[in-house]
Amino acid sequence: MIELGSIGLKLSLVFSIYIIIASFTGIKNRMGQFLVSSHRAIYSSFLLISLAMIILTQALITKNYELKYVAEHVSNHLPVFYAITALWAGQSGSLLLWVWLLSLFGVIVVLQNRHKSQNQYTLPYVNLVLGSIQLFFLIILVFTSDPFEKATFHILEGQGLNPLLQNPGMIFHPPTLYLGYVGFAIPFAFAIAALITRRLDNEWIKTTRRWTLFSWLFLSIGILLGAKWAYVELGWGGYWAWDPVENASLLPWLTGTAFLHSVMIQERKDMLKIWNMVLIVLTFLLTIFGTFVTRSGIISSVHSFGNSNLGPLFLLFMFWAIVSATYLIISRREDLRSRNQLDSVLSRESSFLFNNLIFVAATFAILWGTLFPIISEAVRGIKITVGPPFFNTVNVPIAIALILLTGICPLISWRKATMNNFLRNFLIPSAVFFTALILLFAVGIRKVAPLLTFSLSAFVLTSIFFEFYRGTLSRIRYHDENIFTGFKNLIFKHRKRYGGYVVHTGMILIFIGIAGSSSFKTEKEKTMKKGDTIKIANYELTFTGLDQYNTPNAQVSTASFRIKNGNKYEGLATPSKHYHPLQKQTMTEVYISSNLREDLYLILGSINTNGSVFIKAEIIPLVAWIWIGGYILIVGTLFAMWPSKKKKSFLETKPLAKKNKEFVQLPQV
Amino acid sequence: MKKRTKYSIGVVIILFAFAILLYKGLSKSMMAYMNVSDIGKIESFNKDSIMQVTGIVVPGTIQNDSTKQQISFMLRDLKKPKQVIQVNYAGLIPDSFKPGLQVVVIGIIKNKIIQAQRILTKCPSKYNKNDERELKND
Repeated sequence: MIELGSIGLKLSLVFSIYIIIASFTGIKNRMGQFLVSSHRAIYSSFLLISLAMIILTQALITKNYELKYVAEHVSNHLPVFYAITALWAGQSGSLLLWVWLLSLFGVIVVLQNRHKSQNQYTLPYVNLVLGSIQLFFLIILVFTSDPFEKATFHILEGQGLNPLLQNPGMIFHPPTLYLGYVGFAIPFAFAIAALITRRLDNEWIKTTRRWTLFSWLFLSIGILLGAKWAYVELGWGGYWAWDPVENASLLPWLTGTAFLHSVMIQERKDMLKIWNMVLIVLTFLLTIFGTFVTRSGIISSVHSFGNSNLGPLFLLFMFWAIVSATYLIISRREDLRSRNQLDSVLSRESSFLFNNLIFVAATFAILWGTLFPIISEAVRGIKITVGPPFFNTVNVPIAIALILLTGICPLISWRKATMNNFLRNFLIPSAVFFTALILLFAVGIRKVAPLLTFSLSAFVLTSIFFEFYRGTLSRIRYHDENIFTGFKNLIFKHRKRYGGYVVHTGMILIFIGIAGSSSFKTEKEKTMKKGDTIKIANYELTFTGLDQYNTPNAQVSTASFRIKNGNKYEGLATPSKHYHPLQKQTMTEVYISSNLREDLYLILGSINTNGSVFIKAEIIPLVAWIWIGGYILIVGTLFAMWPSKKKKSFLETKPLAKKNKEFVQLPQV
Repeated sequence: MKKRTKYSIGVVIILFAFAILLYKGLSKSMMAYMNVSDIGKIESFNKDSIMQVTGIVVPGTIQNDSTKQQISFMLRDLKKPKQVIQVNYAGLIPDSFKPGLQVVVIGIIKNKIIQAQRILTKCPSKYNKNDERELKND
C-alpha cells in the first residue's frame, strides 16, 4: 500500500514534466490535441497526488510506524483528528499539502476556462506556469524531502505530535494559510501568461478576480487564526510578536491587498499595468518566501521547523522566477505603458495610489527587518537582530496613515472631486473625529497612537456609514423604493463596493483591538497560598486549591481561582500545567476569560512544594474586537466575491452565450 | 502647479517620512546576536545595551528559587564547551526550558554575568523531533 503513495508522487512528477512539454508543443505547433492531452495530464497528476495524500493520511490514522514521517509525528494515544493534522506538522507532509492544493487549483482552472474563448490563448501558458511550480515542489518531495521514507528500524511507539501543536489551531490555521499561499499562484500564472501572449488588457484580472479574493480571504483567516493560537499559547509572545514566520505570512498579505486595490485603477482607468504585474509577481514570490522561511530555519524563529537542506533549492526557484518575470515585464513594457493619466490629485484614484505606496512601504520595512540579521551578518560580520520596537516604530504610523486613507477614500469622488463637494462630505466625519478625540482625551487617554487610532476609526466608521446612508437615500429617491428594498438593492447591485466597505469595517475593528490591547495592558504577579486574593483592575481572584488528574496524553495540575469582577462572581478560573511524559515536556495552559471590554489572562507560573502557586494575571483590553473584526472581514469578502446571478447567466451559461453569438452574427448576414 | 509636481511632492513626503521611520526604528532596536565565545571579543559595545546571547544550558548548574521565580544557570558556547557565562533571570520560565537545551538569553551583561530580561527556548522550533542536535543532548 505505502509504496503506492511513493509511486504516485514519482508518476505525478513525470506527468508534470509532460504538462509542460505538451502545453509547449501544443502552443508552438498549434496542435489542439496536445492541449487536450495536457489537460488530461493535469487531472491525472491531481489524482496521483491525491492518492499520495490519502495513503499518508491513512498511515497517520492507523499509526503505521513503518514510515519515518508517521513515527516522528504521531503516537499511539494521539486522537484521530490530531493524527490527521500531523499531515502538516512536519516539513514533507506540509509540502505535500502545498502541491496537492496547487494541483487541485490547476484542475479547477482548466475546468473553468477550457471552454472560454477569451482565455483560449492564455490557458496553455497558465498550465505551463502552474505545471512548472508543481514540478518544483514534486522534485523536492521526491528527491530531498520524501514523506514516504521508510523508518530504519522497527518502532512500537511514535514520538507523538509536539504538545505545542495539540491545539484546535493546528486543525485550521495551517490549511487556511496554505489555501491563501497556494491560491496566489493562480493570478500569478495568469499574469505571466498574459505577459507571454501580450494579451495585456483586463481579461486576466477579470478571470482571476475571484481567485485573488479567495486567496486573500484565506490568507487573512490563516493569519488571524495564527494570531489567535499564538495568543493562547504561552511563549509565542502574544497574538503578534513580529516573529519572522509571522512576518512572512503578513508580507504577501500586504502586497496582495495593494494588488486588490490597484487592479481597480487598471479596470477603471487602464493605468498602473506595470505596477499590477510587479505586485502580483511580488505577492507570489512572497508566498514562496513564506513557505520557505517556515521550512528552512534560515532565520531563527519560534515557529519554524528544524534546519533543513531546502535553502538552495528554494533560492534557485525564486531566483528563476524573479529573472523570468523581470525579463517579461521589461520586454513588454511598451504594451504595458498607459496613455491615460489621472484627472486630479484630489480624486479617489489618488487615494488608491497613496494606499498602494503605503502598503509597499510597509512590506519593504517588514522584509528589511526580517532579513536584517542575515544582511548584517553578511555586511558587518556580526549578526544584529531588530526586535518588535523596530516593527512597531515603523508600522504604527503606517497603520494610522492607512486608517486615515480608508476614511478619506469614500469621501472623495472618482476622477476629480470639487473642493466644495469634498468639504461638504468631510464635515460630519471630521466633526465625529474631533468629538471622539476630545472625549477620549477627557477620559484620560494620553498615548498618541491609540488616541489617533480610536478617533480616526470613528472617522472611518462614520464615512462608511454615510456611504450606505447616501446610497440608500438615492435609491429611495430615484428608484421609488422603500428603505429596506432600497438598501438591499444598493448593496446587492454593487457587491464589490459594499462588500469592500464591510471588509474595511472589519479591519477598523481589528485595528481598534490591536491598539487597545497593545497600549493598555496591565499585569500583576504574586505567590499565593490557599485562600489568598490577588486584585487587578476590577477583578479579585481568590485561590481555592489545586487539582491533579491524568489524561491519555498528559498529567494535569490545575489551580482554581474564584473570579470576582466588580461585585459579580463569574465562576472559576482554572489555569493549569500539563506534563506530557512521552515528550518529557510541560505545557502551561493559560486561562482566558473574555468579554467585549477586556480579557482576563491568567498564567500558572509554578507550583511549589508547600502548595502555594506563583501566578501572573494580565488584563488585556479590547482583544475580542480583533476576532470580531475578523468575522466581519470574512462576511464582507464573501459578499464581494459571491457571483451575482445576472451576469453569470449572460456570460457563462453556454446555450445563452451561443444564442448571443448568433444574435451578433445576424446583422452581418 | 502641475499635477505631476503635486504627485511628486506627495511621494517625496511619504518616502522621506518613511526613511525617518526606518532610521528611528533601527536605532531603537538593533541588538547584537552572538555566541558565548564572542562576548569576550567585543569590548567596544555599549555597557547598557541589550544583547542576545545563544548557548546551551549546562546541566547541573541550574539554581532555582521557585517561590520568587528566580533562576540562575551557566550558559556554554555551542562549539567551545569550555566557554561559559553565568545567567541570572527572574520571571516566568518557559515551559520547554531544561538542562542541555539551546536557549537565547536577552539581557544586559554586567560583571561577566548576564542579567536576563527574557529567555527564549529554541525547542519549539524543532517540530521535527529527530533533529540531530537534540538527540545528542539527550
